[in-house]
Amino acid sequence: MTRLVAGALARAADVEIVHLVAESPRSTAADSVFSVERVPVEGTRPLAAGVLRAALGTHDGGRSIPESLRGVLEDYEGSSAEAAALVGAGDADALVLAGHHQPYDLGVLGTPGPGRVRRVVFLPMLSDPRRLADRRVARLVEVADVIGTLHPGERRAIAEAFPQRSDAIVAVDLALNLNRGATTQGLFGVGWFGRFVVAIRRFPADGGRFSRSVTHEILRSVLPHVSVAEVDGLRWRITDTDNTVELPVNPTRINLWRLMAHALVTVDLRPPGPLGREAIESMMLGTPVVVPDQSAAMEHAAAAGGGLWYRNAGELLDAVSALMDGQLRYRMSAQGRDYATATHGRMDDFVSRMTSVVLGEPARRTG
Amino acid sequence: MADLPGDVRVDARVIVDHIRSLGGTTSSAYPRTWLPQGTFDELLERSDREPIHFHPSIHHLHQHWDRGPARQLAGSGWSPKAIGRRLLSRVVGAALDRYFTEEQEFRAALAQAIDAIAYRVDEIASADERSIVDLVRNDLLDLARYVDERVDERGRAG
Repeated sequence: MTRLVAGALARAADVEIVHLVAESPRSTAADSVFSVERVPVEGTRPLAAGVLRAALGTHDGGRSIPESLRGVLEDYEGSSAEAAALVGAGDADALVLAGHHQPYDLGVLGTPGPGRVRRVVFLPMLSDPRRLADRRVARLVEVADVIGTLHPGERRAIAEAFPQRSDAIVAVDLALNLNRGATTQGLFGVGWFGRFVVAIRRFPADGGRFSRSVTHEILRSVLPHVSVAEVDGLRWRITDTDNTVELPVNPTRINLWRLMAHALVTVDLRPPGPLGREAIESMMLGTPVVVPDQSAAMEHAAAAGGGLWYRNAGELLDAVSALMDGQLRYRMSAQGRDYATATHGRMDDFVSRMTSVVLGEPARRTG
Repeated sequence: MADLPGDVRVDARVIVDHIRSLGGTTSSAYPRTWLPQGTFDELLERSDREPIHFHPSIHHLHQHWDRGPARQLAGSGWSPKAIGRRLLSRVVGAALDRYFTEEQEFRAALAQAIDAIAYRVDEIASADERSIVDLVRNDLLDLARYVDERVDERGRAG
């Protein structure tokens, strides 16, 4: 996501990415269009923070966390003095804060208003709208000149939580480059299994994964005469009534496109993420999606009319069964493709949108 | 979904609501088409404990308890062997019909009982985990109150 934004901005300006990484030595790498600086964050305790959040969330969804525990949670997120120095240096025309995890003294961002030299653009990338209750996130929303949102649900949540900042909220609507030519051929070996659905359990290979969800076998058993292809990190396989074949492929995005492009339905079994990228790509390829409720992917599916969503295993199976109806699938396929192509398929529009959002007006690249 | 009107746009929210309403009203002696139902709460879904409900053996039981169709298989063809097999099938079927019927009912009851137990165990496990998390939360709130009081005391002393 950061690279997509940086790539778009690099067409109009010089871009430097500062990547905050827990317990990592500082390093700098140059790309063809921008440089990436890795800056360490010290003292992070993600497991402790996760346990504490889960425990506090049992009461009222974690909305009314005692002030002292908020401090503990912030401590667990660590801090980066080097990032504060970089952000505070203030020699850039604009600062884009990608993600709501900004572990440093936010005072260096200054106060909004005419006196401030540069523009602050905040892209919250919320996978859980409850994080809006965090005072650090609230501070970022207050201090930003523009708040860029990735999907309608995020826009709605921020506008409800901060009505006074409604004017500053804009839709970023990322554009995704998708190589349709590469998807004309399906993956090798998949054609022998006839019609199939794709279940994404883990993608990319180092991404999040539920330790359990609806199993491959159970999904297969509700689909008469339809095979199930499963993407599970490095392990990709396809199953029909009698046979299971491991797919000897690299777990790349292009191979996922080749699988999704020829599938009846794409089923997302992963923990919800902030963008719902695979759902958008699947709809772009004309394949309806079944995605988790309360997720970015669900917001895209709902806005497009290009898929269904589930709260639990029973609803997931019902949704997949419903999409076995050819007429419904055809409609959702067409609606999803139209929406995804119009909203996320036009790179030039995205570049000019990002340039305008971040730089305020068309800018020239220097050097 | 067979009666979708002409060029009208399909609203995914309406479809999802429709699916949910059907799932909530379907009543049968057995779980819906013998598949695990969405009765787990989020806590159990995300915990490290494997719900018994998803155990492959229970799934296998759901798929294979019904041997009714197997009893109807009498073979086909007019070879002496096929005719003999059909005759034998009829004789065995007539002689053991009552036994097979009882056996079928017993399997159904057994599957139903195991399923009910699995659900109950998962419910208990869920309640157990929830109570533990509640205890942790209460301890954290006590700690927070203690910290707040100490801060107030120091503020007054200062």
